[in-house]
Amino acid sequence: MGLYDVHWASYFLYWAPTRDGLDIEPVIPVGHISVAKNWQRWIWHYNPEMLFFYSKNINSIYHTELPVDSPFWLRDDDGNRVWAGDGHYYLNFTKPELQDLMIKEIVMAAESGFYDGVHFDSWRCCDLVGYYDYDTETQARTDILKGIREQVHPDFLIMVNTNRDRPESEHVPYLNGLHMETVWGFPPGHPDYPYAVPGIYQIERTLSWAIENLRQPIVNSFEGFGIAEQDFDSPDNIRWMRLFTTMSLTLDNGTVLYNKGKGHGHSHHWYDFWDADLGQPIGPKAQHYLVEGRHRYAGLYIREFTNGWAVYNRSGQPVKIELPDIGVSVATRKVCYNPYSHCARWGYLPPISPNECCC
Amino acid sequence: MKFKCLWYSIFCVLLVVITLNLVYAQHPHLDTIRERIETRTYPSIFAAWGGVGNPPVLEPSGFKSTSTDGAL
Repeated sequence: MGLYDVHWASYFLYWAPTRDGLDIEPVIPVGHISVAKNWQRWIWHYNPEMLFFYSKNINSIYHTELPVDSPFWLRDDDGNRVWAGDGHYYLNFTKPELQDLMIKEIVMAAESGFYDGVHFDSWRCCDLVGYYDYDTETQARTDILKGIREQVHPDFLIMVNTNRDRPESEHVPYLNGLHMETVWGFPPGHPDYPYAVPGIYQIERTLSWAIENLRQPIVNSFEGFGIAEQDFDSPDNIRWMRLFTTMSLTLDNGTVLYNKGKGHGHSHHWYDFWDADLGQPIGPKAQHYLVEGRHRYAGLYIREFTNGWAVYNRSGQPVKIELPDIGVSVATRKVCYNPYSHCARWGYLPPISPNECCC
Repeated sequence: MKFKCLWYSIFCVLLVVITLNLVYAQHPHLDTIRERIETRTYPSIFAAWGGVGNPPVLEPSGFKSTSTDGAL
């Protein structure tokens, strides 16, 4: 667990249910929050850079978490709760009373001293479509963000899952990061198997926008979805893993994950590609690499780190990368000599292929 | 006899908690959020262990891939 720099989880902290179905006192089944903090200090010993996020979904909750007659459920014209799938019903988070409870919950999580931020899942308009209009829903989300921001430490991190899109402009001043859960076939009805070129463009644009426009300090969590039908170490999965990893490294200063694909949640394998010790970035983000010093290919980026370089190539053609120094390819273990020492290739697997090194 | 076992168990739990406090409380870590972000080394990987109430599950622990090429 010490390998990961960002964690979303409750980590032994539970919200105790009450007769009303809601309680926002952080408790744990045994002991006290200090137990969780002890565990946290222990894990910090292995990775002092680790950040912990409290995970929250304002849109819906499991059907047993509120009484059936609660005023906080979203209800249809007949007064029935609105099904959100997987045992969940939608919440009516336009209600100020519910917003206040949600704000209080997050503020308590922040004040517990355990969490560095909150991660809001499914942060997209418009979940309440058909019941409330765009402005009302957007304003409700703004009120929740504003209420949290006014009461927590200025550096308390607020991250939202917007999939591949930018957040609403009203929310931007409050946000420190995006969780880009770049699922296939998003938006629904638009198959994108596995990731079509326009989809990759959109992902790149959103990622680059986020690192430049959100509130400091910024931490994005960028998630590529694996091909579930193939082994985690199939050539396709390996290439896609490298594509997402190098995209994150060259366009962002955030964190990345490549998961096992649809139906597996966020479970994943640890790739030895991630064991590379690149150190810290010293080159600018989104720096185009000029082939032979003058040819600019769309989708070819390089970034220098203290211990090496990362190359992201989705230009659709093989290119030779000239490094200013001798390097060793992380994957091939081959020594790359200058000039034209490092070859990255992309584009031979339809409809889009991640980069491949052939130095 | 039952109470003796109960008290003994409680004593053991307390002993573990106190020991953890003493051992790990002083371990060095970076205090501020910004410090932890700014000193991070790359690649930087994140993990999501589920929603509220779900304890962390590491799966599969320490598994290594056999990738043979890359662009780092």
